[in-house]
Amino acid sequence: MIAQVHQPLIRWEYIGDHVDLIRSAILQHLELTFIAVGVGFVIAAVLASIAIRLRLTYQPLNLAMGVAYAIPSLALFILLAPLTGFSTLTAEIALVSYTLQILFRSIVAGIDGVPASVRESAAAMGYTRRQQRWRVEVPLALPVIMSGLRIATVTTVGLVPIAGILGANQGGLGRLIFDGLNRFFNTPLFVGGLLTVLLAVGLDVLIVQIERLLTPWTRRVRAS
Amino acid sequence: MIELEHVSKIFPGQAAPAVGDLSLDVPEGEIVVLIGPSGCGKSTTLRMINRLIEPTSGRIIVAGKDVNAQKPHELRLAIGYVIQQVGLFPHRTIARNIATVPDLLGWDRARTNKRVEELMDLVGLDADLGGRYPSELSGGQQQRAGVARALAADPPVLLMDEPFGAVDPIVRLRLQEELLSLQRQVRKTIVFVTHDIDEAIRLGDRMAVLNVGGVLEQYGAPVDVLAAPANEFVADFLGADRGLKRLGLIPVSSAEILPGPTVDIGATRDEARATMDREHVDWVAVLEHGVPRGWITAAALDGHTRVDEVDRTPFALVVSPTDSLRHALDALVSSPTQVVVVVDDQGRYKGILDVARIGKGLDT
Repeated sequence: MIAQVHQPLIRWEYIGDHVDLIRSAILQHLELTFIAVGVGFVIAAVLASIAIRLRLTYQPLNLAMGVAYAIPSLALFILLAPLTGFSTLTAEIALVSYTLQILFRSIVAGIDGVPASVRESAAAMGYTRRQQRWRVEVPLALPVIMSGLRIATVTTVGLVPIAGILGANQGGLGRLIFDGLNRFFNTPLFVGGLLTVLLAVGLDVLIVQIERLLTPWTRRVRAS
Repeated sequence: MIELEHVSKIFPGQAAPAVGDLSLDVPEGEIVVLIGPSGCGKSTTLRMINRLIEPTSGRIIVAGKDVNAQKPHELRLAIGYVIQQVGLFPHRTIARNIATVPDLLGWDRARTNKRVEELMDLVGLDADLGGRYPSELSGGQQQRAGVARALAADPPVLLMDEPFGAVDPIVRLRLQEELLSLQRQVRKTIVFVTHDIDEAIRLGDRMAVLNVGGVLEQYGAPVDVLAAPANEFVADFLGADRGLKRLGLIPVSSAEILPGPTVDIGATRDEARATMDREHVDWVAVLEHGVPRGWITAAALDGHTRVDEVDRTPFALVVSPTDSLRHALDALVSSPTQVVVVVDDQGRYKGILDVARIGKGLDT
C-alpha cells in the first residue's frame, strides 16, 4: 500500500465497508477491559483484605504492585509473549497487572477511611467482625473504591490498544489503530482512536452513575 | 446489676495500669457516673463492661452473668452504648440506624418500624427525620438518635461515654434533662462517664470519683460526696464551691420556710404598718386570694389609707418547694428585700426564705 500524503482525515466509505470489523473491535475492547478490571478487582480485594488484617504486608504488596505498574506496557507485552504466546492471556496478564495497585490502594484507603467512632459503635451494637466488615465498612468505603475503579477502568481502556502489538486478533480498537499505522492510512487510525476515547468517557460516566445509585447518602448534607 | 470485682487493665507496653484493682457495684435502675481527670481510666472501665476492651484481670458480672462467659457480640446486643461522637452509620437513614439491633435480632419489619416510631417519639425526634441521613441532622438531633439506637431492643443496661460532651452548653442542659425524664420512664441501669462535675451531680444517683490509674477514691450519692469528701483529691476535684453545688441538690421544701410579712390587698394602711412593725421590716408582701401580687414599702404608704392604692413592685423571682436551694439563693441575691418568696404549684404564697434559712439547709 502506498502512503497517501494528502488523504482526508476520514474516508466515510471505509466505515460503511467495515461495520462488522469495527463492531467486533469494540466488543473485544470491552471484553478485554472488563476481564482485566474484573480479575484485577478480585485479586486486589483479596490482597487488600490481607493487608487490612495484617498491616505488615501492606508496604511489600504495594511495592510489588508499584513495580508491575512501572514497567512500560509495550515492554511488558513483549516480555510476556515468549512465555504465554501472542494470546489473549498475555494481554490480560499485562492489563490486570496495571489495575492492581490502584484498586488495592483504593480498597485499603476506603476501609481505613471509615471513622473510628462508626467502627466502635458497630462493634458495640453487637455486629460480628464479618458483619462489621460487610454491613458497615464496605458500604462506607464504596465512594473511594468506586473512584479507584473509575481510574482503573479508564486506564485499561487506554492500554488495551497497545495489546494490538501482539497480533492481528488482539487489542480491541488497537487493531484499527495498528492497521492504520502500518498502512499510513488515516481513517482506521482516527476511528480507532476516537472510539477508544469515547469508550473511556462512556465507561467513566457509567461508573459515576452506578456510584450515585449505590451511595445516596453522600449527596445529602444538612441544609441548615 | 453490674459488678466489677478487682478489675485491672494494663495496656501492652505500659508499666502503670490504666485501671488498677477496681471493685464497684452498680445497682439496678440507677445512674452511676464515673468521673475523674483524664487518665483515670473511666472510659476504659466502661469499655470493659461490654468487652470493647478486655480486662487484664478481675471479673465483670452483668445481670448475674460473667461477661467473659458470653460471646462479645451477643453480650453487646443486651447492652446499649452511646458515645460522644455518636457513631451513627452515615450510610443508613435515622430510622435504619435506630433499627440496628432489632434487625440483628431478627425482628419482623412491622414490629421494628413500630419500635422505631416509639423511640423517635421518646427521645423527641420528629417522625419525618426518620428518612434522613445522619449528616442531615444537627448535633443534638444526632445524639438523640444515638440514644434511641442504644435503647432500641430495650436493653437493661446502658453505657454512655461523655455522650453530651460535643454539644453546646444549652443543648447539653436540655439533653441532660431529657435523659433524666427518659430514665424516669425506662429505669435502665446506666453507667455514665463524664469529666464534668456539674453533669455528674445533675445526673448521678451515685458517683464514683476515680483517680489516675483507675483508683476509686469515693463512691456514693452526689449529695453525700459533696457533704463529706473522702480526701483532699475528691475535695479538690469537687471544687471550692462544693457547698453551693450541694445546695443545688437540696430542695427548697427541706429548708425552714418563714411566714414573712404579708397583708391582703384589701387591708388598710394601719394594718400593713402593724405587720411591718411586728416583723421588724420596712416592706410587706401583698396577697390577693393568697397569691403574691408584689410588695410595697412603708414609705410608699404615706398619704394613702388603703394598701390597694399603692403602686406595688412585683417580685422579680419566686421559687417553688421543688426548686433547689441554690436556685433560691440565686433569686435571693438579686432581690432588694434580701428574701425570696416561695409559692406552691398553684402560685399561692407559702412564705419566704432568707440567707440564714438557706444556709441551714446544708445541715439537713
